Amino acid sequence: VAGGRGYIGGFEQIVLLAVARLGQQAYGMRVRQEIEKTTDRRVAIGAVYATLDRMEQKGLVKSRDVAGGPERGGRARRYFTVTALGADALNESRTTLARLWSGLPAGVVA
Amino acid sequence: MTKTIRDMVRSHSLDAMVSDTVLGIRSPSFIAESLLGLSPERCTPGLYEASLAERAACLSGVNSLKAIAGRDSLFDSMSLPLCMAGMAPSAAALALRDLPEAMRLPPGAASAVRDYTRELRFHDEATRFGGLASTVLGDRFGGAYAAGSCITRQDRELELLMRAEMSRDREFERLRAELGASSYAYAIDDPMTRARQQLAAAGYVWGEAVEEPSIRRQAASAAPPAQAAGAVEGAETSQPPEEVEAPIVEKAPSVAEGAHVSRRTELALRLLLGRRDYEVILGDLTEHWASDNAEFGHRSANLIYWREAIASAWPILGRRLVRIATAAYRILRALM
Repeated sequence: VAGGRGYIGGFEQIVLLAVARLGQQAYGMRVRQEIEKTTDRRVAIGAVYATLDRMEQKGLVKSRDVAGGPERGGRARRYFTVTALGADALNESRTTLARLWSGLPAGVVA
Repeated sequence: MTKTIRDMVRSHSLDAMVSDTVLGIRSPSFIAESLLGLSPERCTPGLYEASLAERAACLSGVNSLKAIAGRDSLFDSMSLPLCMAGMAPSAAALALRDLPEAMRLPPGAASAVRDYTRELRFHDEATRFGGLASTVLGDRFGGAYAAGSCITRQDRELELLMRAEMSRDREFERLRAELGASSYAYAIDDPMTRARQQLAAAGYVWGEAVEEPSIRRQAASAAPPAQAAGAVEGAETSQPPEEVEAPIVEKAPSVAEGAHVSRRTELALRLLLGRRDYEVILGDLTEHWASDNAEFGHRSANLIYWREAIASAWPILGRRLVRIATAAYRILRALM
């Protein structure tokens, strides 16, 4: 979390934004699809879970397990939501990046 | 560089590519990557004129070249990465350069994998059926999969190539079901067939070294051209099908039948992950498998499933180790 408490990493930020975009529908596979769709980047589901787990430890997201249907062999889905701390981290990260970008030309930075 | 390769291919000097590959001047993966780099805009009509599927066909051609050139040595170097990565042969070409050194299979498992690929007549099966062998190997050597340090390249383009192959397989399955036939001809005017025809016109037999003569025969002797050519709406009928291949006999499985993949993966992942994680991750993988199965078919779904399982195991294992280390550190600090 920015502001003297440490920064969220680049991938953490991407995952956190994907969770925020998905709202109540954010579970592992859906988060991964959202990331791939928006970033055109391949991501392993395990990497998503590892990141979400790390962020849960930091208090940036919280999770709840919900019983899964037959298409999942009855296995649970873990839904994630962004906490207030996570939202603060995203906002702060955005502000920091905006500050860093301000004054630079919009095109390619040499 | 791509220009040079293109020129070589245009002038039909495929043997020059083989020589370069054997001599190590050009690695197979380098050639494959160079072919991938040929964009539609830069290619005039010809063999590498450029739909995506045609480029996939080009990569299969590279695999054939390796089979022709290497037989044993290149065969070994290719089969291991292929089964470890769970990739289609065309995709494996790209992984060739990096994977052998990255793998740390126990000696026994490595030799068993080699033997098994030979049993499968790897050149033939894997090249033509696009990853079937690697899927089977993945099932059988799930433990070795998990134990190996497997780093795969997951380029977007590579994914698209795989999907092109899957799409082709799906079309053949559909056609076979529609005909109710035990065999069918390559009457579909797909880019792969066109590429083969162009090679044939150039006097080069596509996949000569990788196809069994016994299952390659003239269309006229195996299936009536009218039936074959008319099987697909809009199929090109002016040119007879070049060859007939043995059918891929495999019924479409249900989700429940695909559970065997899940069981093997479960065993591997259970060793690596905590209970809390593996239930959820396996659920996601199963869900993904079901949608891939419906969209791409059983073999391709299995392939994707294994690739996902392997790629997912390491980050989670790493995370788990970090947690254990953190807990151990806290305990030690409390004791001191």
